Amino acid sequence: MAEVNVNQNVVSPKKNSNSGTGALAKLFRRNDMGVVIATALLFLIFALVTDSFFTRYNLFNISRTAGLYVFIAMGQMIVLVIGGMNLSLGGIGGLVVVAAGYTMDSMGWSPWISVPIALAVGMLAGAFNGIIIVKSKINSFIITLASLFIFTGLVTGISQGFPYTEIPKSFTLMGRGSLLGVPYTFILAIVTLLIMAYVFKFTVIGRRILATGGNLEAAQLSGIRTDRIVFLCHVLSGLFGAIAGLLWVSRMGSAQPATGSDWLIISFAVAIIGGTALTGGEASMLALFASAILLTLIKNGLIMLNVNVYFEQTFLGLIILLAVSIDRIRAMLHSSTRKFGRRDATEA
Amino acid sequence: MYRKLSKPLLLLVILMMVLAAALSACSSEEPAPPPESKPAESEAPAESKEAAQPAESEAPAEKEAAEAEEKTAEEAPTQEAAESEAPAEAAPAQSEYKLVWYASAPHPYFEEVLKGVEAFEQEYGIPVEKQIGPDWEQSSQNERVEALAAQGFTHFSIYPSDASGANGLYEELTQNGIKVVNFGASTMQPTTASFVVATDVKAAAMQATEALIQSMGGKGKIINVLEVLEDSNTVLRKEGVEEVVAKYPDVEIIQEISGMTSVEEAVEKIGNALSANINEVDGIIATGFTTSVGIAQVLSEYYDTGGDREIHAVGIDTDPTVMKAIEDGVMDGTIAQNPYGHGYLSLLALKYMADGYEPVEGVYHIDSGAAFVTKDNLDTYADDIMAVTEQIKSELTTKYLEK
Amino acid sequence: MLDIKQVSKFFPGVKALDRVSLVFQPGQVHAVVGENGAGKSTLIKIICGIYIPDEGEVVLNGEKLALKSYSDALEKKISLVSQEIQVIPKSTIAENIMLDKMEHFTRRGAINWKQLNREADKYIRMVELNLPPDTEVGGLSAAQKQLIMIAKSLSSDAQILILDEPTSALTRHETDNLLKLMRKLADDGVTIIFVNHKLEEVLAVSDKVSVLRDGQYVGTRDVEGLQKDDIVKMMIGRDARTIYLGQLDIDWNTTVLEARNISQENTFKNVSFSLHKGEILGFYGLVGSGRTELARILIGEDPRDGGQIIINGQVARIHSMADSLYKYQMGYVSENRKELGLLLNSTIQTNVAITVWNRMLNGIKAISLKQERAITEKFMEAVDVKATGPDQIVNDLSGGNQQKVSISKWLAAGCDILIIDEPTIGVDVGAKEYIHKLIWDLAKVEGKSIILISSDMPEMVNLARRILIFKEFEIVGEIDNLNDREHSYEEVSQAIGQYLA
Repeated sequence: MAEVNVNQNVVSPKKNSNSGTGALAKLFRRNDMGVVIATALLFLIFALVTDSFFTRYNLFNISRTAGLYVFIAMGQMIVLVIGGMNLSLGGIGGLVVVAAGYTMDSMGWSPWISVPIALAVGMLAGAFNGIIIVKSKINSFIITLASLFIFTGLVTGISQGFPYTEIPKSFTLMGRGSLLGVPYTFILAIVTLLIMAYVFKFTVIGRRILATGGNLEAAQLSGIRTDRIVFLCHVLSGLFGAIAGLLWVSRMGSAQPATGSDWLIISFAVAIIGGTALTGGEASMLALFASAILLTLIKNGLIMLNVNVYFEQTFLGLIILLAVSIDRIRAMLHSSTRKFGRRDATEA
Repeated sequence: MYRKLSKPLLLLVILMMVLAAALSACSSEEPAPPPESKPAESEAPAESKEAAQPAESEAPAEKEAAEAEEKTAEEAPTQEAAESEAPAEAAPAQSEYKLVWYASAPHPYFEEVLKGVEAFEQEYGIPVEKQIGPDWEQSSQNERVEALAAQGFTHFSIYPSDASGANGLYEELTQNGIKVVNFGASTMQPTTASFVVATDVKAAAMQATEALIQSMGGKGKIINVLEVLEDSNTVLRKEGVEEVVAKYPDVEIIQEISGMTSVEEAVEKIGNALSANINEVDGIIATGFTTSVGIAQVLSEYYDTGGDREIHAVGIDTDPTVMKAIEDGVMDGTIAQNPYGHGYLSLLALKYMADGYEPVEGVYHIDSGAAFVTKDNLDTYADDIMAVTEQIKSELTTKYLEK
Repeated sequence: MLDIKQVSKFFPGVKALDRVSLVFQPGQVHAVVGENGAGKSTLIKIICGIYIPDEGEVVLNGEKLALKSYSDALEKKISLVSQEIQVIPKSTIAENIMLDKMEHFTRRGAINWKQLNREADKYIRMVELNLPPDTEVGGLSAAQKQLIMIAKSLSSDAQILILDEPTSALTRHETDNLLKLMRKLADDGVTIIFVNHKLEEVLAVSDKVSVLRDGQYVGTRDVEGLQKDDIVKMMIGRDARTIYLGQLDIDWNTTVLEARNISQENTFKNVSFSLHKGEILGFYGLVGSGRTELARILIGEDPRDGGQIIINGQVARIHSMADSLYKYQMGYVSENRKELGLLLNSTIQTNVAITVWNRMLNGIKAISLKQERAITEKFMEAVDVKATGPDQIVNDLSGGNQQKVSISKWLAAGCDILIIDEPTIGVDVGAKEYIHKLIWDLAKVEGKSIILISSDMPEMVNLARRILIFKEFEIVGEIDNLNDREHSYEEVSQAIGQYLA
């Protein structure tokens, strides 16, 4: 699976003295395994406890929603990783949806024209954030909070709250279609995750993004044009938001201007449970992927288990807590084995 | 230090100037909305007729979008214009009526209501101060309505953003001799509002449930989709659904879901609920706007992807997605409310009160009526609703108001 | 009397302290010295209750201490003034001093400022700070903040006062004052534990000095009659060499970098100098005299209002470090390695290869991980970084090894011109020697041109072959005959002193 783990906190994996643990233990020691394990466990539990969980229809729905979550979370991850944030992600999503709806419905243009326009709108919105953050040196929290209002206002202003319904049938292929039972949305998410994992591990630009997030000033004094990196990441954030928005339009077959209103929490939850450091400089595509599935699973499972509607949110919170504490437990187990292993080694 | 600061500062100043320029351009493009009200008179019947037929919007969707655009051009400035020009134009002198129509936030429903308001304006030649707020927060509603009251307006037709929270605002208004009528939804009772012009939500929910159970042949298992439980209306709808189901021994609610504020959430949750019960569910009912769109979406997808279980579904409101689902046979029907009437009748009641009428003792609800829309009456249901509006209109000064 | 008995502390993979025993007497200034990683910080933290010892015990006046936190220590009148100055910048001096005692100065819930300020003023006088109690702390100098911290400790009636590297941010004059204050407090009966790198200061003020090495106790000596070399010997376990490194092969005819009339609003006015091929040019001066500020102008990170930078005979257009590095092969090793030099939470590999990622692309434009590792290992070996491997997180390295990594980055980049800012701050004696050798060889063997910024006089004398003396954003003097013959430390420092006077 895709993975980026620039900051492997593994001390001397080669010379480690506790033998007999093998590759599995090595995998277990990885920073991003906690959420993967939690997701796998939850999947297993739901599959065993409820009979309608492991049906084609349900798996299709889960994977498609998870695919969408991946893009929403990537939009946040790419700015979290440089130590910033994008509160306006949902606003960008809404703007893109309206751009797509307006061009396809009101103007009657073909998706081949609308989609590039919509993507460009998303990237422009991101660029708007980026340029102001870079030039004004004001915290991204404040800038994107302001732009969230700007974008949301534009969305309601342009659409007047009306959905655009005349979306060409052909455009719904991406959001509704599937290959061998796997939704295109999900496939696209995996491909994008793989690309981003590759970017972070193997490309100069990816490394520079991580370095910028690790310590902006040090990166700058190491010859990285951090302003350009910050700008680029905000453009990418806009792009991911745009893709998520378009996938939603494609799935709905209509462009709902309220799209994106609930992205803020999803984007932070998935990205951060998925191992993106709030302080920047670290991201794991594998964990992000697992965490997108995790969140979808929880929401799905709660309905499968038919929990009391009044307390649903409480359960959601509890399961998220449980899932993230698995990571703490893993880390504790890991460090204690490491400690004892080392102590033995020094004593010996 | 200064050098470092000067650049971003300059940028900010430029940005603000651009913003200011854009804003002033926006407001100056539409120099004066009032002239629009006169020539519009000839258009009035056509427009009101259209308003009465929101269902039709499906076919000429482009037209609707274009219309929406027109609205952008026409209505958008009203808010701004209102602040700058209303006190000068509408409120004082010209008319002895100082009427306000206030909606919480941009929403398709309010656009429909607005058509009723405009019809009232044209029919009676009374200008109405029409405002749409920025969001669904009670606090922003308070601020804006208070500002309008300060400008001398005396009669308000308001959609309460928060069913209990709005009462505080109303109490203050009525203490100052201002009359308030709820439209669309009622505030919690007791309230100082004179009337509510709205669909009887519980009755509508019961009607929808009845229709669903009929289509299921009087037996089967139902998923009940509620919007947000924090809303007191949702609780009424829930009661309505449950009361009807209780009458049928062979009908059972197998799952209840709630907590959906956006279509995105609704689609996800309804999809989940459907998967959870796919082998036993016979019917699904929504009593809220977004959830109805959600059902339309999820069921269309279900059948598109080869789902073969027969699932009956009934929703509420006439969103294009829902209407299309009914047309395609994906949903059995929906409850059409009377947004036109909400606007028209609430203002008419206010006018009468301004003329000296008082509400009849003990009367508070003006049920604006609802029609059940199926594939068969897609084209004609609007007339039924219009008839209800006319009916209420004729009874307004007898049944609801007296001198 | 504070008695440390057989105290040990373990961290994963490390014995930070190994059965250390030590006695601190009241009324004495007792210095604790040792190289980085010798265990000084761990010892202090144990005394202050921040760490709990794994073995052994701490006994205060016959009572066994079982401290769980720093607040426990404060209760026992043990107080720490630490390396990182911890003041609340937006508050006044009085507030900072009385922070933990505010509740004693309230009347009906409201703070009685008059009374609070009066009480604080007592301690302000005690440390000879001589500022009104209601001065906001943010704008004060490092030394003044240090004094506030000491005053705060005194206000808690501290009997044991631990000073952890208190002079690292202070000027000479401020340091002298601080040492005098320490002496005075000790004479009043306070136990002072003084942790410091600067052995001159240790010798000047202490009664006793104890040495730690690799987590173990080496010994305690009376300072009277003790020589600096004796302490160094105990610290590194062998004799320290004072080195004359010889002559550099400077090509005086080739000017690689020339600054002409550099000006900047409110700071520099027409500052000029030139750097020759193979030269080590020293920038000497106090912190804030304009050395680092000039370096930042040279690398394009700060703007200049006038003047030219000429590199290899051509006017250079530099607007950022990236320009400096990629267009002109000029590197800059920051003085502040933790904040400006390193990605602390990243691996050694990332920190070394960061300047050369774009040079190790394979056929498909991807970074070759193999090559990246190879380069890292090469430089780790070249500069002798002691670590478990290229994957170790830089934050876990000692100061000296961090500095080596910070320099490696620029070695990997292959810069022709290198500006090295305070290369041995917070670096232990052994690593310091190594870094000196490294810088020397860069110039001597590889013919690089180096600007060395340092306020460490012996370092200057050892390495620089020409010294520019900075004072208040001006170059006030130049010592240019160092490459001719061996100069003694006294000789050079006297010459510099004349310019600064």
